[in-house]
Amino acid sequence: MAITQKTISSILRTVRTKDERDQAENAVSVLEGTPYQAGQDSLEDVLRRVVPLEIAGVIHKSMADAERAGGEEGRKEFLKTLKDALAALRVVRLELAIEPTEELIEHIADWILRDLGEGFILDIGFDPSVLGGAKIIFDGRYVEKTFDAELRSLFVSQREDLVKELMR
Amino acid sequence: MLKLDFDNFLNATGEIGFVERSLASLVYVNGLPGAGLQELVVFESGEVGQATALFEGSVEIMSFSRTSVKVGSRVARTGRLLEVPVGEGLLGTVINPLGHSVNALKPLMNVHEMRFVEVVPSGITSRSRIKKSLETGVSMVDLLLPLGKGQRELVIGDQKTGKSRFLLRALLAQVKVGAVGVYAIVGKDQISIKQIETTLSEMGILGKVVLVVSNGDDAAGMIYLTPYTAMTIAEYFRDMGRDVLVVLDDLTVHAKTCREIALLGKRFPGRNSYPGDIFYTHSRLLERAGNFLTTRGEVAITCIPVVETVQGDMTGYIQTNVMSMTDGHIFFDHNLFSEGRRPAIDPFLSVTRVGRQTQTQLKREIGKELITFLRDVEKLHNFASFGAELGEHIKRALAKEERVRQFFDQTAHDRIPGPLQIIIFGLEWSELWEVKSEIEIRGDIQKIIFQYESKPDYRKRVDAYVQSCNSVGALLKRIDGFNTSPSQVPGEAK
Repeated sequence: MAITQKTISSILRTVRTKDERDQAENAVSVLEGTPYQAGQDSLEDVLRRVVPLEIAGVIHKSMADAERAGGEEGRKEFLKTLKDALAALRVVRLELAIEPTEELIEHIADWILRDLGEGFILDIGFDPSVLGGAKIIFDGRYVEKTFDAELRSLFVSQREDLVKELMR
Repeated sequence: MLKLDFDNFLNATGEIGFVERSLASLVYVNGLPGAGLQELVVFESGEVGQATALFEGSVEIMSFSRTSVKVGSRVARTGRLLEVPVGEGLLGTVINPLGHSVNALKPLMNVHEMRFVEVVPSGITSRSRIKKSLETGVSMVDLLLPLGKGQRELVIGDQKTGKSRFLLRALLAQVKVGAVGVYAIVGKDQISIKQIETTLSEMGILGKVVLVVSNGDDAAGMIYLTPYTAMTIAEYFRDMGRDVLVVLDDLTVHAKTCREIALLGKRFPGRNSYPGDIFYTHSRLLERAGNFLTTRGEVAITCIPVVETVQGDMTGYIQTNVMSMTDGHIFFDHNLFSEGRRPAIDPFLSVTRVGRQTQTQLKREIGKELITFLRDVEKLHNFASFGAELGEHIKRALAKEERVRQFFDQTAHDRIPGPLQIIIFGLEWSELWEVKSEIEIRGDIQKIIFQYESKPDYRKRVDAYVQSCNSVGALLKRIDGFNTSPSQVPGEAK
């Protein structure tokens, strides 16, 4: 069981975003049905079709270890634990003014891991009205740290000065 | 439709939710961790809803929007409970349950105060005994089933039995004596709403009545809110020192809407699938009516809820529920209606619990005399139906019954003032009209009403005479002074 927790943890570390979690969950569903559906394909091929290479590799290796240790039952237990762990991941949603690059996702995921610890994933949305900064949503809490909000509050608080400046 | 600025509330409360599921007017939202029960929430589209249940990590919202809410759309808390605007400017308007004019060309003016739609009814210390009589202008009700100011009297009966006509007449009579009318039309079709508005306008009282309306195709949440909003408006006018008559038309539709919402929300169904708290839903509404002690003296909210029956069956669940939480009921019988009786009220199956204590001694005696006579003559009908040859006294009793029925018939008259009801009763009861034909009697009644309304000295004489009589015997002594005939000017003594 201890080995399972460790391996689950290593799989979760490869899942950084909500999309990746969806893919991993999809992979687990496929693997649960594989003995009946895979046909000629190997398990690894099946996995590679539905999840990114890195996640596929870790899942395949961990499942093979679990199968070796506990047979068919060990495999089933591994998949169930992984499924529950994926569902328990908490989502931090960010709305940015740009479409995030792979590098930026990696960068933010590192922050999350460092500052919040394990068990969190990102859900990054694109909203051009943000202009800069981000809208952060977590567990129903909402914080707006955007350039758009800064500008709006500036126009409200210093409206008269701005109008004077423009009229000059 | 009420629309709020979503972004403002989102930034102010710092909480957000996402629509997970949308089931007709119920919406399940993930998030909003600090939401409270009954709290108003705003959707991304600007439309609003109300939190009806709280779960771990999610909230059930009752949407007031006619269109369904999109899954995935954002929701923000407002930190406020539902309020409606109130003020003198509401008089003569037709508003929806959120307090907005239904006619875009007639926006509300002079409404500066906001009041909560759901409030806890006033306690016993702020209430007073019902002492003042409430005139409906309908002789049968005013004499046999009298109402008091602050009473809750259920109007019950099948569809198309003249209930609405009675309600409108009661409103007319009350508005004429200075009260404010609030008419809640709950989930009816557009034509019915328009008909009621037109009739009030034709009666000349629309300017003193507030119509709170919801259509059958409105969101269930809107239909649910309608009577509560009406009661909030009534409370405003009460606090301004004005007596109010509230009509809730009707609570059967309201109960069905509550059932729809409860079943969608997977609440455990009770009898007839209504939710277990349907009694509380209605009783906490009707408990807001009564005779209140205010800083401006005793002011009453009289409430007339309406409940529909099917084929005259008044033993249904909602029917008996509402009966048990009101101070009596007036039963409109479809058989009487098809016999041509107007109003088609069955006085034997109707009840008034507190109205009699507000009556004068004379009126109470008249009521007793009439009900005893009608009961006795009912027995004679059973006897007469055997086809036996009828004796003279039976024939006379049946003829008198016919005249009494004529006295109660108000097909042509919307309102007969209280003192005049007594005078007409006296003329009928004293046998002065025994020799007159049906048409002559009808003409005489018409003349008397006309005289009373157009000649102040005649009105004074009638009022003074009725005031001076404290028994039926005394009334009949000089009643011939008010008799009319084609050759005689009404009101002049013979």
